[in-house]
Amino acid sequence: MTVMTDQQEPEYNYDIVRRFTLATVFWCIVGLLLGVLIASQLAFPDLNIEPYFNFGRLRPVHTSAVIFAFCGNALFATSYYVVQRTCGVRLWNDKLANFTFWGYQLFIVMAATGYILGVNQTKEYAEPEWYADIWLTIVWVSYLLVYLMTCIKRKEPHLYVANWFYLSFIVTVAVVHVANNISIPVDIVGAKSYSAFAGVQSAMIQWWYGHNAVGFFLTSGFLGMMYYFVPKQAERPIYSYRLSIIHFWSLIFIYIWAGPHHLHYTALPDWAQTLGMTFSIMLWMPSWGGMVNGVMTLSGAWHKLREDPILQFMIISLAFYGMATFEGPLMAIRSVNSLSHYTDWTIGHVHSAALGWNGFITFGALYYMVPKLWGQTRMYSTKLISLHLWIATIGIVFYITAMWVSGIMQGLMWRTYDEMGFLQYSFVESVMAMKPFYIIRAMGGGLYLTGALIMTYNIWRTIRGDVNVKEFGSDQTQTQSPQTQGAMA
Amino acid sequence: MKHFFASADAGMLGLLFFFIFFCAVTLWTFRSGSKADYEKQGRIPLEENES
Repeated sequence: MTVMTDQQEPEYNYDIVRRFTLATVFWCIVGLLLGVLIASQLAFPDLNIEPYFNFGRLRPVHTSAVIFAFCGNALFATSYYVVQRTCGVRLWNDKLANFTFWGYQLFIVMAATGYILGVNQTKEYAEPEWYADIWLTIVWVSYLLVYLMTCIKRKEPHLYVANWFYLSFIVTVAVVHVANNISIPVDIVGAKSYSAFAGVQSAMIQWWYGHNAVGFFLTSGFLGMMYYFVPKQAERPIYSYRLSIIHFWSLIFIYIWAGPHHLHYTALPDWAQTLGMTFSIMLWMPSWGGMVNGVMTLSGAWHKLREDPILQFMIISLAFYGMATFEGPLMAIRSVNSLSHYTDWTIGHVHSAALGWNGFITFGALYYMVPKLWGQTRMYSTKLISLHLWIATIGIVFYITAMWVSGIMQGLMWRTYDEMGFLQYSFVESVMAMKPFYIIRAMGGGLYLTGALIMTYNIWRTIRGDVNVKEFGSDQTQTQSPQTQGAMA
Repeated sequence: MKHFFASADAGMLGLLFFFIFFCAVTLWTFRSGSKADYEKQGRIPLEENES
């Protein structure tokens, strides 16, 4: 193990981490704002402005802004931070790292403008057309290169497990992105293209991609975050390093097979549906193994959870991870899926994972990193972190309970027959029944957005070097010595 | 090659391969002397330099 003294401290590239951190906060607000807007459009259809700002065009802007812009930038920021610190070396190639930043932001803008203008290849979570896909591939390969080269020139003999999760995320996303987006443009100067695959093969490849976007982008990468930031914040090593290795191999081996559960009761052969369902159920084990590993890191130090809202963010995120990874396999069971599929239950499930797991672990990591990145001793206000935590938690509870009720009701209404064998309800009756839940959902999203705005304010004050006098007293100095700050800049 | 992938046994062979691989990795983590290594490796984030 490399033991470095202060003199040997490598000059880490925090500039790139700072940029991605600011982008994370910016896209978080954009993504959530769009979410609240489209949720309101569903409750109040008059809010749809044709043709550019209707639900159909704004919905992929919301999903991409949250998944690829907010979560993606958070993954870039934390992975670049974690790989440097756990490898004990500066990030490889500043210029290429900078290129990944600007290149990735450009991809987001290319994708979003396309959706609003109606340029969309109609594959969920893979909506960008061929020109944006090729650009993302170039950026992503650069990301892999920067990350891998940093790992290769590391001073620490062992590659810490968080890096394994980050690497599997980068590699797998590259593979599934390229495979799913193989298409032939109609015209070299036109946006339109046709997929190289047709029919059920195209659907299968799309959901092989789609589920691994969930499995590797939103799970594996974020587990990398969890394996670094939970031990750091708790000041304790991960509960079981051995379990983390078994967790890693089982998760990546199983996740890649779960995609067909998106295609139950379709033209996909039964054996493939059963395969997807079986592997989804098998995912319970690694998912819960990972959750237990994270939560039990606090074993023997539970008192820290009482006092530290950053740790509360992380542990609540793991609770949501456990809940969502229990619910997901349940919904992948064919008979449950026949009720849940195409209903709001799916939307509720996705949001308990995205808001609860991805959002909360990111907020925890941001609150941990921001003071360190800008040379401050702590966040501007701990009370505001706590306020963010509770407002956001209540928001999620509103959101997911509304969607459970609405989704199950919707599924039941669709399958209810009268004594003559006719459908009891028309489709529009099921839509009308959902209206109150749509309003509750939009309120939940509004609360979550409010929490994120509080975080933005807190981060802004922290970066400015302000101290909340009411909380910490006026004699506290926030900024560290100029030398330290200089070394970090 | 084409014949191999069309074979009814291919699925079973794949299943066996992955299952054995997984068991091997799990057993490998319990090799003698691994406990001390894992404890040391688990402390990597905590022993890095604070700046």
